[in-house]
Amino acid sequence: MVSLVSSSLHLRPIARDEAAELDSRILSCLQQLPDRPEAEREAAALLLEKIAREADDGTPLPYPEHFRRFVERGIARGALDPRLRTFQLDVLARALDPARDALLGYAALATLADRYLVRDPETRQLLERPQALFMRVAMGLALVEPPEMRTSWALRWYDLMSSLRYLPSTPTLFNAGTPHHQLASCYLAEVEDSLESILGSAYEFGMLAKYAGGIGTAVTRIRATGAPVRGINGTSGGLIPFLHLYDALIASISQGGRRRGTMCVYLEPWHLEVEAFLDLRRNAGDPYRRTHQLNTALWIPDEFLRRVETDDLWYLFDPIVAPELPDLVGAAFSERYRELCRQAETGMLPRRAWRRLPARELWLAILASLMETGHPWLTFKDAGNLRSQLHGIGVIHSSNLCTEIFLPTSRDEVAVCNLGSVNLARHCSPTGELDWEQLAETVRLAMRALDNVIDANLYPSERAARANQCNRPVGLGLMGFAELLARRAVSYAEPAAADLADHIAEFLSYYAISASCALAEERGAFPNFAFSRWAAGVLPIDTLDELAADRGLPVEVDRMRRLDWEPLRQRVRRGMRNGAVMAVAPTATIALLAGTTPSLDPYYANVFSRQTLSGKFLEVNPILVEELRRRGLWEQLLPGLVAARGDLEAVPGCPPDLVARFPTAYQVPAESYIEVAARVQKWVDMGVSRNLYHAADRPGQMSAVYLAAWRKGLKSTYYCFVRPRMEIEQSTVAVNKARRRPQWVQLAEREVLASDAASCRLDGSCESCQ
Amino acid sequence: MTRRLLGGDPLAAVELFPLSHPWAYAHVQQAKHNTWFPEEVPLHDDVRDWHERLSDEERRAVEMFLGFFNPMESLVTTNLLLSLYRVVTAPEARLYLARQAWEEANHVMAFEYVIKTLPVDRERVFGLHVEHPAVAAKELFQRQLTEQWLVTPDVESVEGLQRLVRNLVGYFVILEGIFFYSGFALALAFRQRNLLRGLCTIVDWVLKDESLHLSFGIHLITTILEEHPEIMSAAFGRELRELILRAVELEEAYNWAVLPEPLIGLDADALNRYVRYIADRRLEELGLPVAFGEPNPLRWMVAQVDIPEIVNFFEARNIHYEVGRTRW
Repeated sequence: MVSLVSSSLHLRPIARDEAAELDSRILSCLQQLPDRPEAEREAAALLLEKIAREADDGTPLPYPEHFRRFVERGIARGALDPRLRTFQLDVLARALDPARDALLGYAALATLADRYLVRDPETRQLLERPQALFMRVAMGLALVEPPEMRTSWALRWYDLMSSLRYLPSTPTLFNAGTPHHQLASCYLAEVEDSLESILGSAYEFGMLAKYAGGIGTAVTRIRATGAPVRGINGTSGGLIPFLHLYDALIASISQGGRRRGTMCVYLEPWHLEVEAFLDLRRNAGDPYRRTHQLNTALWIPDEFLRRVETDDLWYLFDPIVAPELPDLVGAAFSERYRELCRQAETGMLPRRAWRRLPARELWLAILASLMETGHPWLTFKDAGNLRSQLHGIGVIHSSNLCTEIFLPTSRDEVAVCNLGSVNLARHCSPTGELDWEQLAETVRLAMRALDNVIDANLYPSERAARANQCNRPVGLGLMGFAELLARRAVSYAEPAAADLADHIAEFLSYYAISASCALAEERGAFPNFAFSRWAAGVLPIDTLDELAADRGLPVEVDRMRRLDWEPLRQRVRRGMRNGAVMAVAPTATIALLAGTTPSLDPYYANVFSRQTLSGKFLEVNPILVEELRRRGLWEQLLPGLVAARGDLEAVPGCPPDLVARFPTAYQVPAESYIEVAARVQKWVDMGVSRNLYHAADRPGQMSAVYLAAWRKGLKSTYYCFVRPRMEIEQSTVAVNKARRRPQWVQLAEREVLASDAASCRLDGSCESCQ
Repeated sequence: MTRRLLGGDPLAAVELFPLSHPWAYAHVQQAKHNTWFPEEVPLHDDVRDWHERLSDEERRAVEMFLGFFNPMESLVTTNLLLSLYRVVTAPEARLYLARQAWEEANHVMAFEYVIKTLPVDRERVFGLHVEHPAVAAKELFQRQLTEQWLVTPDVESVEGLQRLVRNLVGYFVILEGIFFYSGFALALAFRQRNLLRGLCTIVDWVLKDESLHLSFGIHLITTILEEHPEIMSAAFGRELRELILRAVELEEAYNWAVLPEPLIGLDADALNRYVRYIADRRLEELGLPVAFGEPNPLRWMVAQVDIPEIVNFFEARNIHYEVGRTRW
């Protein structure tokens, strides 16, 4: 609700001074924030008017007229798919509900106008208004329905999306109903150990990125520096220079300014060059051995973390002597890995092709890099594979750009996944009572829309088209969890938060799987169904025990279930339309559009700003504002709220119950984030992208958090936010009274005065561990 | 004698511990964590903005901004090394001065990086501090502060210490605490409209550094005043206050030159009221009476600077990671 601040306020065809005048009025509204939250609505209304004026050539038309004109003009100018004419356009035009524009906050509208609304390809004039966007996307999804059904499906999906109960991922919002209908979010690939593959992949990645697909790729197979190169009588420069190549490639593709080209490279931590990989995001050093745009992630086998726990040695290998390791998982990996270690120790491997070091030494280097650069993200290879419903169809070699997709890849297959998320905050009362029936209906509609994307999608790569048709994976996720908690007056740190997450995830999973069964009954099962775990009647919840058995360690997550899964299990055996059904994506941008909290993420603070490609938006926790207003405290507490940087604990006079109910992201223990993710992952067949917020600022302290994530069966973790220690001096707050020393200086002083702490052995003996 | 904050043996080798001024060492540690390099910030989109979205007036304002910051950062280095390093002799404080000098050099390189990437009129930008009277006046103001101190550096007499404090106020409080903050507001006004986001990321980083410099400077000044309460006479307080007010006048004239016409989202009048607001806060920090008593006119700086920021990492560079944290 209270969102604002900046955006691209340059829209073309209205006369420049008229546009400038609207811009000034919008800015003057925004500049009244956060003091006067209503100003955000006023700014949104002005921006809506500006969009309408531009799209309708100066004078806003009634929505039905706008829509008919938009479809005709859009097709004529090559911005829309001509097949949109096959709908009953008059029926659709009448269905557009102008009142729903009011659901969109300023940040949402600014983002839509900046990047989502369809423009004239030549003049860049906006052609589309927000309700037309939802209808255009609904039509794009309905194009694969039989012609006589298209209009009615489009109506249903329009209602679903324009009410913000569900939003598909950004590529679908961008491209559905347009001639470039690349609708999938994520592509997963694997680079082979040959120059042909490395360069060929570069071409393919470029094409995928062009149409807004994010890329995750495994690079573990690429031989290490010093490895022989046949045919040229020389040796290889190793993995790192090629990653620099991908970095430059991805930076050069800006997706027409709408989204940045994005890619994540995955490496298993036994690769001989893993230490150089950890340095890729560092800000010093040879720029040709750095990647500032590329994201990095580790694909960690259980064997490594076991050795960290037992303080054993860890061996690194050139993949040229261990080419089978990327395809082995769990116990089979461990067995082969130990054999390689034995070979290394007995002189059977070339000396340059392996190295050993204490596992904890590498682990601490990983955590240090994570803390200082936010990379590499830590993802778990064995949980990812052993808990996959497609285990047996292929090996999963990496996750994706956002660490929630887990699909097999091979030389011939680039995995694809299209995503969408249910907005929990639009399925509840003001006090957070969920409307479960409506939620189930949303899941049904969403699953059909996601399944349609597989057939409607324009595949930028042959390998991708093939894989997607065989497994037909989709990823249903959620957003608005923290808003729901805030409405229910539950703090993220309470056990009730994890219980609720568990309850919701079970429910979503149950109905997503049911919907996929129903689609299989109507449309047939996915081609690889017979080889999947689904066919054997295995459900995602069952694979927890399989993981535990393989590890020989318990997976520490509560096994409680609330629904009767046995009838569904029988139905699943008969057929599933989709090889994968759920994945909880980060939803950073679509949650902004939907005006709620992203994914399972907490409120970052009770007042904070969000820096995006479309601007820097200020956000005040809207539930807190409502609550303070109800108690007549808003005016009184607002100045303190800004001075305290959104931390209620530091706001003088704030009632203690509110302090407990609205923590900042760093006040919630990292363990709570892990617990929520574990309880969701329990039900989800693919993965859960889990951002973590650490108040602790030593790698040794973070170790426990990541080991808990592994033990609780998470498949991945995502961004690592570390509370910055130093606070920039505030510009608008007159708190800096004479000679009052900032708190961070006092803390830092105490620290430098403390004698040198013993270096941490992760055994709890050092000061910072205690 | 090396434990003295001021006036120890300037040629003595460093014996860092035991610390006599732990606040200084705390600043060194934090500065280390804040290390950044300009090349981390892509300016791709800024170049596009320049060509496609900025008006001529806006381009001119950006050039004025760059033409001021680039040379002025180097004056700070000069003053640190020639004026202060000679007389500030506590090793932990010297360590910070050396570090700060490096940061100022890094800022020069950062603005150089921007100037050589954006299609600005480079000759004009590099020449502004000589040719434009409003920029030249600010430069002269700073230069004189250094010159007046260098005539006879002296930390034994009250008069000498007063000249030192005057120099410190002139650099840490006025240049880094008023002139620079005014410039930051100008740059960040562009981000309010989603323009020049790369440049603004550099500004965020510079601001983080300057915030630390300012904090160190205030600590240094207040420590000197505590150790030598005799120098803060009523007359000297008035002198410092006048110095600050004179700086406000220079800054106001400069801002009128930068923004002869209002830009969307910012005009010289509002920016100057902000300058007066900032100046009041600096006076407060020095324990002097405020001069203007005006409210902050740029409330939007709340979103730009004052509150925690979460970065959509696919869309912007996250500047909040801190390096050198490898102690377990």
